[in-house]
Amino acid sequence: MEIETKVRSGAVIVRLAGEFDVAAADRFRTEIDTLLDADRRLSRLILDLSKVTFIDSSGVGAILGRYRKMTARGGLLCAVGLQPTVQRVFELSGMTRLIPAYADVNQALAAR
Amino acid sequence: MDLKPGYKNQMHLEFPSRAENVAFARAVVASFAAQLDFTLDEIEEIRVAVSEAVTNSVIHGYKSEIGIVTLDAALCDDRLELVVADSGRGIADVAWALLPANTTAPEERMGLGLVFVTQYMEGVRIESAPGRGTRVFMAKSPGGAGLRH
Repeated sequence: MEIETKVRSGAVIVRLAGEFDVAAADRFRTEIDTLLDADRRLSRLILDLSKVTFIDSSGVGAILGRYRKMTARGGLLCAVGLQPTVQRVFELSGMTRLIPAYADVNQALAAR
Repeated sequence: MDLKPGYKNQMHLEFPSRAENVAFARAVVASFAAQLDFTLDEIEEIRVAVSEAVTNSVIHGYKSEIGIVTLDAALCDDRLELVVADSGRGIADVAWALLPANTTAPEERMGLGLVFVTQYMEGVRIESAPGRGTRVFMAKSPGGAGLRH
């Protein structure tokens, strides 16, 4: 899985592409946590999942861990561009009840 | 490998319990399953189920050690049958492990892996005992049970 991060308006925008499984989860965790730990002012984490072609419970677990981390520091995590295959796994795992979803990054940035 | 009587086709795969082999395992099964008339959604469900079962062998079965995971797939009539097996630590209480949120792994494992397997596949059966490894049996037919949408 490719992981690309950038910071915009106090938000970390993470674009993921490929298959989000156990092999990708460790790298995702390390990259995101390094960014978040370096700047406590980052209050929003926006995950762009529009290029994610596969996710299983390892990927969901890694996202849930970042959700907890953001919540603990008073921040927010949201997801954008959920493809049907990702949407189904999110629904089955209860993630849709926890994590707001938007059509794209601009909508997520506009939401407060 | 012995040919199973009455089976149209079968395959057997062995690989080390490395995280990067999880993608390999689900790709192989998806390709094998394409011999039946599965929908894309059903193939996706099979991919998730295989990914979860193999990940369990990697994370729970062998933990930080490397062991061998085996994957057997067979086609009987219009039914795909799968067995994912390891010779790792095994599960003390299979019924407990099948419940959502129950996991022995630290943080971030959600205990959802086997829930996905039972939701997406038919005839799921787990044989396991501490120190004696784990075998996960599952099957699926096109248009059969599993999570429908």
